Amino acid sequence: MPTDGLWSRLKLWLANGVIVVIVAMVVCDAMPFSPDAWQAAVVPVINGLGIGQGRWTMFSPPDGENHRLRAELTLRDGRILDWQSPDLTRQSTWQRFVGHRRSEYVDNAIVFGKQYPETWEVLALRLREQYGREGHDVVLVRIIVEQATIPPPSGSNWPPRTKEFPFEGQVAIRRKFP
Amino acid sequence: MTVLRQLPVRLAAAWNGFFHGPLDLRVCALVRIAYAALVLIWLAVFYPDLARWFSEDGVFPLIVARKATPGGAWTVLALLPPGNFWLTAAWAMAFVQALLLLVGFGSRLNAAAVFVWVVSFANRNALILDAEDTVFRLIGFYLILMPCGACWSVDGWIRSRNTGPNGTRSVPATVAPAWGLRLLQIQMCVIFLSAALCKLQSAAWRDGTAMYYVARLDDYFGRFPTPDVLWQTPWIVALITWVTIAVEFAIPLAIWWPRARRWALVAALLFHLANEYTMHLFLFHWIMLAGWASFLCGDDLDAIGRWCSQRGPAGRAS
Repeated sequence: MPTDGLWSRLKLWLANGVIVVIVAMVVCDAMPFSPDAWQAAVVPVINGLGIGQGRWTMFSPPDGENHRLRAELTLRDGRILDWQSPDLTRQSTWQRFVGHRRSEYVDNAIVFGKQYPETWEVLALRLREQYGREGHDVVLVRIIVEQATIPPPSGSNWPPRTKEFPFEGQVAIRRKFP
Repeated sequence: MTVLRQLPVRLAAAWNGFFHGPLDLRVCALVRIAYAALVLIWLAVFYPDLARWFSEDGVFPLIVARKATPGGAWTVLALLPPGNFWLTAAWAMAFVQALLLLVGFGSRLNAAAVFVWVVSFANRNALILDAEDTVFRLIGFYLILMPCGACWSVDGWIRSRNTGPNGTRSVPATVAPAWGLRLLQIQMCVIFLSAALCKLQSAAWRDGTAMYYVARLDDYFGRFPTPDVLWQTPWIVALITWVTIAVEFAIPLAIWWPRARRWALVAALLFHLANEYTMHLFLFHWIMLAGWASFLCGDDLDAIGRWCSQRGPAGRAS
């Protein structure tokens, strides 16, 4: 059956082509030793395939800060309401599991919000809508990013893991509503 | 000269043996079942907050989300008509297709569909993503390239009941070319090697203090209790830091050596379970273990089966 033989050979070569292309792209995208230009070249293709991954940095370098988000909502009558992202240290394992995306949102929004303030604009709008549904007329939203820096270790006995480091707030956005 | 002349032939034979040699179909089935079960949990956790994360009324409307999306990335959620009904319908379809993948019905087709959904949900909101979402996309992709529904599946059961033209039952396949599974194996090693090499570029990992910082990150660390002395004593912290790098280097290298493969798999299992014990990383370690399961072979599955049957009710009775 020459046709069968040809078809099998064709399938084999096709599979080999797929293997070579995928492995080459994955290595260029993921390995830190691959030149940035190579990575930049494969990114659109590998993302188009849905397997873009970038370098697997995984805590390298480790983040030296803990984060929280807070918002102050000023009502038309002058009262101020406080909104706070969850204090993760007080949540149960189950709450942390089902609320995993919320804690990711806080972490990533702080990074992304520095570059794209629209992130905070939308959050301010949603908070106003949320409190509006509860009958509050919000006229001003201040979103505050709170960061606690983990001090570098020194000496021979380091502070306990559970020691709380002081949080400092920085206003990310101040959004007025008519 | 003869050796040189034979080199391309030998290389081609080695390549073909590695990528196109036979593979125990139960391994693909195991990866499929583990993956689909984890996708179901992954999707279920999205459900209460679907509108918050993925709708135009949520915290990340498309116009903002597109700025965070890397070049080439796509999401079918962008094509949905406005309104939460369609979003919920898309989620429900993804859930049903993951269920079908779990039981192995229309396996390759549903593997492709689940991959499209996973990519779409992940690419729609980059603000809620973590490394595990990348692993979900990756395993989903390689699963499409594997004969994942030939065994331990409704597809396999239907095929085994089909009778041929002369009334004979078809014999279920037990082996298939390995290349889809091999790609997943290579991918798992790339993840660990990349992580280890990135750590070597970081001063905190090199000087042994990285785990001091990691242990004090309140969004990740402190799932279950650990002795304080582990994270307060410089030499112990340094040891944990360097052992982490060593493990990330050693597993992807040792796992290809037949004599060390089982030990490397045990090390990977312990590494991920230890991390799962100490850290809140959602499904990261479980999806990684699903990926490492691709390194199991038929003998391992037989051994696990024997071990289970000896300790099961029937085994204990005899």
